[in-house]
Amino acid sequence: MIEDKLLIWRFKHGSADALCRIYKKYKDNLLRLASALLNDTSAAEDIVHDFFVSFAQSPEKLKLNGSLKSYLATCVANRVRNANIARRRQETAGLNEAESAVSNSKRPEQWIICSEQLRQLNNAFAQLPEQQREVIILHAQGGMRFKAIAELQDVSINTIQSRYRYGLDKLRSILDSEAEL
Amino acid sequence: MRPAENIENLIKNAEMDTNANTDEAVLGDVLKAFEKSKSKKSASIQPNIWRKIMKSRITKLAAAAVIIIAMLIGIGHFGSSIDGASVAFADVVRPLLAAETGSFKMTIDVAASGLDWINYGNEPVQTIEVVFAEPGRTRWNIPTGEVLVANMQEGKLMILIPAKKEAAVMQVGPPGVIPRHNRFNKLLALRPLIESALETEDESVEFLGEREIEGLTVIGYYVSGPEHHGDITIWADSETKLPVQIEQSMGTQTVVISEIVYNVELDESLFSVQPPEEYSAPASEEDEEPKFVVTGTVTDATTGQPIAGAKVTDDGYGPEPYKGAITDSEGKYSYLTWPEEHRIKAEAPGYKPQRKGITGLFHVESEDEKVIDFALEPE
Repeated sequence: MIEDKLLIWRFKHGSADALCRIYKKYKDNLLRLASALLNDTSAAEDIVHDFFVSFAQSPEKLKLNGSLKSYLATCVANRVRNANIARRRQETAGLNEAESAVSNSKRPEQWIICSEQLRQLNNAFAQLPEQQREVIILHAQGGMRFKAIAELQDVSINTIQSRYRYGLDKLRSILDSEAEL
Repeated sequence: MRPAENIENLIKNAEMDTNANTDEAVLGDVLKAFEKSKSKKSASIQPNIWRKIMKSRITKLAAAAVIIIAMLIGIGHFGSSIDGASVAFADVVRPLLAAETGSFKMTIDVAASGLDWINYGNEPVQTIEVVFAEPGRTRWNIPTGEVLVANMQEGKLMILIPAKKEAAVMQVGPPGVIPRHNRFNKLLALRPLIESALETEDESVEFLGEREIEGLTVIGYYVSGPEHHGDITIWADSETKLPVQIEQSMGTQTVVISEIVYNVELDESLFSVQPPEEYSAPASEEDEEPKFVVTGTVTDATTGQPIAGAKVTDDGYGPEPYKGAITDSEGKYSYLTWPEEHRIKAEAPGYKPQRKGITGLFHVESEDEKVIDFALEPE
């Protein structure tokens, strides 16, 4: 999209307005992404908050090859993975911390307002194997191409495609069975 | 609950709202971080005229000699060439500061400048033809075919990509407001640097003597800029004193401005931000018909009575005229606007104005109406 390219250029040249626009344009998308990947609203909020602050701090480091949307989704997905690794490490080390992710940012109030629909969806996602969940969310929500997701997960595109198919099927049956309740 | 028939749509469109206060709070943090990073950057670029002198002229002189030369440049009265230079500098830069229109060539590394919408192939260094007309209008003709027009009178930026028959127009500021820092006109963007150099000439301007550029005899000045502006070298025709070439180093990059012509006659149409007919403009949100209904009631906060004749308008970004409405006898208003985030303001005589934001995801298909009520406090 030319518009995104213009935004990036302006942002890199110091335009606070362009940064605002990028934030407003993509924050909801990224919040959904993070909350679906983690099924933990407050951890998701921390991740997106920290990401945007970090994004704002180094415009010169930004080198975009593909779409901005895809780039942002990748950044947040990576942060989610790191958060998961950290959490697992704490669990195996037997630590029992109330807050797994230590966020540098303080927010006055809750950020995401979940609808029942969204809560259900995210719960269903949580029941999928992690890799399948990641593929579906990054593709359907984050707009990432299978090729980009394959690079992220370090597997072949075929594997990604089958993870996507199986994942969607499983998701469908989870939601259907809940609908019948 | 509905069965998940079209799962992909569900994933994309499952309802999620965000808390407007938190949106603002986070944005505040983000902007703070941005401003901090900008000021850190400017502090680290310290123009060092002594380093330049050392590199270009003095390689083996003793420290004493360096100090003598420092004194010469500092005082500015020793030697006729330096004397002549300090008088001439103001004359040389005058046309730069006064030009209302002009044209020049700008050679930059397009890739390093982040201008990656330019299809530069294997040639990242491009010489772009620039024409400008003050106030606030600049046009770039790029040899690979693309065109950029910045028109700050309308607050718009237009990019044309003829190879794809694509055009993008963006509102980058309120119309009629000319930003002080001219991002698109590298020549005029030098004005603040030159103006401040004029005031501190003894410290910031160094006369470089005569040279030949492309068969033309020119005299040069090295101007070091305060804070965030890169140092520049100005070459002027030694007869006419008109600056003809300027080099500016920004970090690792050098921008060269050449073939500068002042006060040329230019057609207004060069700066139009209307894309040509055959071009497909990705419809920017501002161009689409507003379809999103905002409605509500304005009441007096103390009595609860409706306020008729109150004005409710979009208080946001985007092209004027801003959408809005006047409340009727029951204090109700309703109008159409674009489905994007902005603020809405309600005002009435005798009351303090109130602002509220529309935020969160909404899709015109599923949510055609947004109700925002106001309770105004009396002044």
